[in-house]
Amino acid sequence: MRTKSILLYLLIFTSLLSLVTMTYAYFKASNNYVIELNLGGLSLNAYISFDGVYIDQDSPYYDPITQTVIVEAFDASKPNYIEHLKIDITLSSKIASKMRFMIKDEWILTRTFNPDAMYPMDPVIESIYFSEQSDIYFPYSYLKKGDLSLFKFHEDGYAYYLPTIDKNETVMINLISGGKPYLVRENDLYVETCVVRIGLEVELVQANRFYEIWGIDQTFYQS
Amino acid sequence: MKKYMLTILIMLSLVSLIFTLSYAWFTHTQSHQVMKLISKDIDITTTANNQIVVETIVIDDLVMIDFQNDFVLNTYQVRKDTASILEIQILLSMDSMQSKHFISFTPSSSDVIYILYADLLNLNQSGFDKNQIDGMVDNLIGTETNSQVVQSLITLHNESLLNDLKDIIIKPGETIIFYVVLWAKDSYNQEVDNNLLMSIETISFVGGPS
Repeated sequence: MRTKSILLYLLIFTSLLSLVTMTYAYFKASNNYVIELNLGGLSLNAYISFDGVYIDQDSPYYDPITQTVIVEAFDASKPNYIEHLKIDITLSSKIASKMRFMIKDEWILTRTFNPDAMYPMDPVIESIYFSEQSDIYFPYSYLKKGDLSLFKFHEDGYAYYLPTIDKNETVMINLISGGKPYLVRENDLYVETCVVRIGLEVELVQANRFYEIWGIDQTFYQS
Repeated sequence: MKKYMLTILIMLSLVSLIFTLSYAWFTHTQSHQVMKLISKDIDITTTANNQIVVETIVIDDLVMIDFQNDFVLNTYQVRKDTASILEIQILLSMDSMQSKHFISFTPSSSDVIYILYADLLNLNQSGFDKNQIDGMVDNLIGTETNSQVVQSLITLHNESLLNDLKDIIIKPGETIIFYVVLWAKDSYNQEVDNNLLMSIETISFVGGPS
């Protein structure tokens, strides 16, 4: 009889315990979330146009091998005439970034000799070098600067964008806005032509790493 | 024989009485619980940067920093610019009972630096931007420059804030808002360590653990 009573009490107690546990579990809601952490990315687009007509990688004025734009430097009748050239870039970044760029322009003069001349010669191809021009031109170039008032030109050849490109900010910058034609010569002996091959190097780094990656002074942007 | 019958009858009556009593008692208890189960529920809606979260929150603007120079010393004044800010909102549904939120974070790597921020006096109001980060960090670490100590101070701060949050009783329909400010140390390896687990346990204020 005593054993039965104990069993009965045990049964009642277990039932109660079961109820209490169920009640407690019901009033609790658990939610787990995974926060995926990805490093921020950067993106850059370049827009190259002649007189408002944009070119792409299939254009005859773009050399995909050397990744340069081919610009006519003397003949104003050509669609890719230098005075019609415009290069813009848009930059966007998921993280605060610093930007710099360098224009790599090669001016190529081709002198073709008259085949009817007394002493015919093979064509001569040479690169043209310029002295420092006025401030509206890129250093040692006939290419005209775009809206570069917020840039600082450094002796390493790069132009540094002074503001920090903020997180999720998109910046559009006009880098090149035309250029000065190169006066070629034409006479009985030879005819000269001139083209410019323009390469563009743009670099973005996260804002706190510019001095390590670019090797410039940490106070560069403060001076 | 009659005596036996009488004894059995008495015993049966007693047993029957016990059953009846027990049955009555259980009936009462179960009815009470069933009523609570039907009338109340706990449900939350979580949003991260104003988007409803089902399981995963994606941060795609994490920046790697030199913990000593960029964070502790803020040598180049880029601490606030390199921070990723995640706003978390937890809405307790109108059908829920008064509850408390027990929130915890588990990073997959110690190379993830995260600081929690909440305005405990205005928990239902958003409004934290990067310009508050330097002040927040400076208050937290003071003049301490030892990176290990700073790491410990951050851990203590986060634990303290989560403790404060769990003491707050949330009414049905109320929202709490807090922020997670993140950086990655230079040694962070995205291919291996790329998540932070956030767990929210919402427990009824009445009857729940303190």
